[in-house]
Amino acid sequence: MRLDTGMARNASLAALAALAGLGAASLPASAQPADLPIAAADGSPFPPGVRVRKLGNASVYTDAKGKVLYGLDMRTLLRWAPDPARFCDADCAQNWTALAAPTGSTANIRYPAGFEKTADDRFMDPRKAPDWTVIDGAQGKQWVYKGWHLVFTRAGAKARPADGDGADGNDADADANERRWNTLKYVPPPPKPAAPGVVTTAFVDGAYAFADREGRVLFTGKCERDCAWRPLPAPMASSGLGEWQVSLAGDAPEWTFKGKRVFVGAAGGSGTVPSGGQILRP
Amino acid sequence: MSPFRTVPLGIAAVTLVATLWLAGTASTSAPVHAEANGSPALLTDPQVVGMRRLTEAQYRNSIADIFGSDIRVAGRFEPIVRPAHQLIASGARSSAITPSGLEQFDAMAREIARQVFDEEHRAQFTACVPADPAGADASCAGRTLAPLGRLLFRRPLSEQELALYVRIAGEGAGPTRSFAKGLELALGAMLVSPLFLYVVETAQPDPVRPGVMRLDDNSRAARLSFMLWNSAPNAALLDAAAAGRLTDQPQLAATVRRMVASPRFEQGLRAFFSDMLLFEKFDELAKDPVIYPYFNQDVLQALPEQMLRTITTQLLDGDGDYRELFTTRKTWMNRALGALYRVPVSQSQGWVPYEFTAESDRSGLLGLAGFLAMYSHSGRSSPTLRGRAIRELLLCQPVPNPPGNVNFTAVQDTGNKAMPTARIRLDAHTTDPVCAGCHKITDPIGLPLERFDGIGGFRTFENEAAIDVSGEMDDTRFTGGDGLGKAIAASKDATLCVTSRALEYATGRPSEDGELIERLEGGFAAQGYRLRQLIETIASLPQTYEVPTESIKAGTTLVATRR
Amino acid sequence: MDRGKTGLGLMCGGAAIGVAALMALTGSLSMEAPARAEAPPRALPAPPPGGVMGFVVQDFVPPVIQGMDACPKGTSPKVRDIYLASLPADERARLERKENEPELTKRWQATVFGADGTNICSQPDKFDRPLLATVQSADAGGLDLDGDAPGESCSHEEFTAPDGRTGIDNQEYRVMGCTLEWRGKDGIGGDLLTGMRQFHASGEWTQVILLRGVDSLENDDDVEVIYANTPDRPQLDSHGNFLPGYSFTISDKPPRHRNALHGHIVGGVLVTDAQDIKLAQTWGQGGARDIRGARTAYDFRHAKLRLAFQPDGSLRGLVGGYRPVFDVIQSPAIGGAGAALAAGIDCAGTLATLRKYADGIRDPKTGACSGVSSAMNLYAVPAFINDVPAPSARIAPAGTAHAGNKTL
Repeated sequence: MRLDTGMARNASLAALAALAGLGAASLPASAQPADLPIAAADGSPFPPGVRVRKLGNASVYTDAKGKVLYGLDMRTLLRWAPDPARFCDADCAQNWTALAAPTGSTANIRYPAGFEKTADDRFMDPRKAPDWTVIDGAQGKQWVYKGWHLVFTRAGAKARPADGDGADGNDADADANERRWNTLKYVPPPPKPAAPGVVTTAFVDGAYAFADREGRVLFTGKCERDCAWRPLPAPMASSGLGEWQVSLAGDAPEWTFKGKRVFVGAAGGSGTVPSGGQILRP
Repeated sequence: MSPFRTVPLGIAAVTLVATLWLAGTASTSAPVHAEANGSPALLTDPQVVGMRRLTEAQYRNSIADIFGSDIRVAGRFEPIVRPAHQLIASGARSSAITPSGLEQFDAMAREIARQVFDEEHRAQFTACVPADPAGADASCAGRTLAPLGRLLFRRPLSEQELALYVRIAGEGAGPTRSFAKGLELALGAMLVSPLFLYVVETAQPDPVRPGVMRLDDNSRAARLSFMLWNSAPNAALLDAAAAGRLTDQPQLAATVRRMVASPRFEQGLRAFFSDMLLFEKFDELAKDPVIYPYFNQDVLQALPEQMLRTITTQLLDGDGDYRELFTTRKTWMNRALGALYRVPVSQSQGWVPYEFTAESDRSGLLGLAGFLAMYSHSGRSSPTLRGRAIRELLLCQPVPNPPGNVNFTAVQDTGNKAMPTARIRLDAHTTDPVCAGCHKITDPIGLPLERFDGIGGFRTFENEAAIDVSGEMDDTRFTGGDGLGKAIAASKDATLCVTSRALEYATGRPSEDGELIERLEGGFAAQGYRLRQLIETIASLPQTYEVPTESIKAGTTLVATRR
Repeated sequence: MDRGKTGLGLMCGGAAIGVAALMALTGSLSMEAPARAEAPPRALPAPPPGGVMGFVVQDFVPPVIQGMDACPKGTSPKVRDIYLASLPADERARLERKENEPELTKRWQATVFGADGTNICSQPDKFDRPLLATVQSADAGGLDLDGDAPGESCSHEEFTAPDGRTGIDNQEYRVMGCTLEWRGKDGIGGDLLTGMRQFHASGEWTQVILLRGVDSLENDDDVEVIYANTPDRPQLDSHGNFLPGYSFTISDKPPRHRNALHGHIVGGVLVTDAQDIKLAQTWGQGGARDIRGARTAYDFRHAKLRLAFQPDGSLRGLVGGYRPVFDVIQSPAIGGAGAALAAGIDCAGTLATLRKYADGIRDPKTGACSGVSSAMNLYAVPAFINDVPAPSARIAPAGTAHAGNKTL
């Protein structure tokens, strides 16, 4: 049955808010399925043995033996287990091995408590959790990635390359499988280069590039007399900032990066850099 | 009050009081509030012949150009009052700042200064490393503030002025134990100085024609920069002024040509037309949401932008004929406007070029919803308002206001089946001999636009009666918006009007020299009515920089308020 | 009206709309009997040149038919009433007295919860609850879904549509049609209409329909139909009706979908060939669960559109298909215990009823059905629709990335 009335909807949303005793906060994208934005790592140290490995044109986390790490999104399990941390036992454990936390670790996260219970200081809010936390799972204390994803590897002697997202799910519903088991994809944390206030970074084509505040990629190249490339304007009073210097050659001061002129691409991805332009990367 | 408030406001007050219209001698007619150790900065040579207040756009552009577009400018700008039938550029010449307006400028100034010298930005704007970051350093403060002052005041700071601001920086650094805070205080003081808020025009005797005063190089740099690029003069222009190149006619002409050819000229052209076409009225535009559900905030923001894009595309990209602004069908659309015009828009964000069909009856600026919605009432169209706007804005022919005792009942009764169209409802005014005098000037011009309702949406019927769009202007008869556009394009008054407005925009005072305007218009015509050329001509004209002798008469006038 | 050429050929199949369509749109939006909506219209205009027509969906709501014969015992009881009904008569009378209300509340709310912190809405499979009362009348809005694929469905009773069509499959209505949320109070529907209109106006669920190759609005046996989502928000007038004439650009990036269908027009009615249709369905954010993490969607299997062209240019009709049974209770399941406690919804009982009446998505091995036939009333007003833009690399804001490649 679908809850369509305003009142009922408000009730269920109120219940949602009450569930964790917390107000609604805006979330960074943290789902791991390949067709949703992948959140960057937050820079906290990896658990012992965990590494990053390139697979195709993207990167994934692996354990010490090189087995690809998978995330089991706790939010998709609630129908089967009120405490999703306990989900993968018995049959599931035949195929999936939890990434165990070192002996003696204490759990510092859990799936948000039920309707009536109050928040517990020992456990942090999954929405604000750092990359790696420890939960008390069905196979013992194990790691959790970005607050929601229980970390597993495929059981079995051989370390196989990733089979892709969604394989070996148990649901008849293919989409549920797709949502549930996903490789943990790695995007490096954004650099914080010394750059003018109008310049920020964006992840383009597998690496970070400079962009303006609206997300337009910055590039350089040869701009002949009548080219329509738009330079990145610089303040008249600025004396530059490290590798970013101000060129006063034209009608308006422009930024240069490592001596090269800087131009602003059109809105969109790397495809909006015109031919002959090279993307500027920190 | 902390030193952070009293010192800059005190300095502002002092300099406001001290800047006067002079008649050769420096005298004041009002008491001066002087700080204990300060001295009023009186300008005796060269002579100040005018102060034109920066518009909001000029202020913002100046800050963005000098300090970067990531510096936030937040506050309420006291508007410049537009004198009747003149440009805001003329109003700026006699625009005072009230105390509450100055408070707003002060708040803005302190916020800008805070950002400029915060941790993230200060490395770029501080010219040297202070000896002690927790204390004053006069030499480093001087080296930092001098170039900033030059950019802000549009001329090099005098020794006294620099010393003043260095002293402010030192007095600020002491109690706060921060060199950067001192600089922040000094910059805040500069930003609230009338030398920044006003473009101070100074003149010197014309060496070629004795008895005549002309603007000096610094003033020319400022005037050119604000007129052509709507922003503060850049380093190249200030250098040219310092080298005296702007008072040398051939070099002035070359500079003007370069500036008009630059992509930055688009900003100047937009500002000129925003002034000429009274775009500040968009801030007050409101429509009845029940009658016009397609009118919303997105549409309101898009209306002036559509008109400006149409203008710049016609006059800049194509270097086209000014008269075609009233006949062209080419314009731009965005998603919000697309629904108002009922046309498809291929992108959900941003603007796409669009061309109306011949059946649309939309010709030029007068077919755009911005003009049509502005000159209508909140729930109905208004041929009278539109006709009047055409007369005053495009033909420079003032129309008197209606008398106070007009009975608007009939014309407001839009649901009346006995008088279904606006034309019929206005008959009462056009036939009454008392009203006809003015209505005969306005209504026959506005009625051809009646196929566009109160927000510029197209219609062919009103209350199930067909709309008659015949009209007449100065003995020429025509039908519809197309006919009106052609009539205006053919009218010499339209080209004379834009010529005189351009001259007024350049000089900041309405021109009384009819012969000069006729001559300029002749040149305009000879060059195919290319507005870029006209503005270039005006900006290079020596007469543009002559100071009328009335401005230098004896007697003193206090031009700014005193705290 | 204004029709014009666009510059630089930016419009993909520019959606022009006939003159008549955009003049004074008179479509009203009450919950009328579908009979009027699906009868062939009197006089249809010619299709626009280019044969392209666009629409934005204003109403997307289950087709509830009011009238006492549908639910002779009134609307389905809430959890509280189910609890009371389970008690002996004198105990029930005692608890119904005002002074015993706190005790009653405590006791019926306890029935919402089970062992190990489960509750009837978050874990509906784990509870054994009484079934809902089903619709008793013979009339329902909907489509004949299994007529062209007999043997693919599980046995069930069929309805008759108000316009006389028989063989209507709408088991979702049979199960849900007597719930308060669907039926409303005192026989007046409307909560659903308002609620769904809000979702569609918010921009999160906006649906658009793009028709290509329309040679005639009366008869045409080859029409391309794109039924998709868009992030662009519609504008509403002061009555809450969508304003026609806006431009929308289709998006197929998650959570939005684009369905390319094939249809034909007979007697002014457009019908598409059976195909799975997916559309966005999001329930906001907040609380312990990121709803987008749960990726709900409208999932219609073996689905069809049946839309009648109206003289004023609008489209009125239905979309129908089989939905996985859990989708029907997805929203209160997300609501968890709150849905049961505050709204009194018995998710477990509803799920059990849906399973019992499931008639589609048949497992070939076991023969069991896991889906219910379903239909939604659809009303769409004219709009300009831009199809999906050419694929280009997406730039992500700093700190996120688009992985792009699914098979890692």
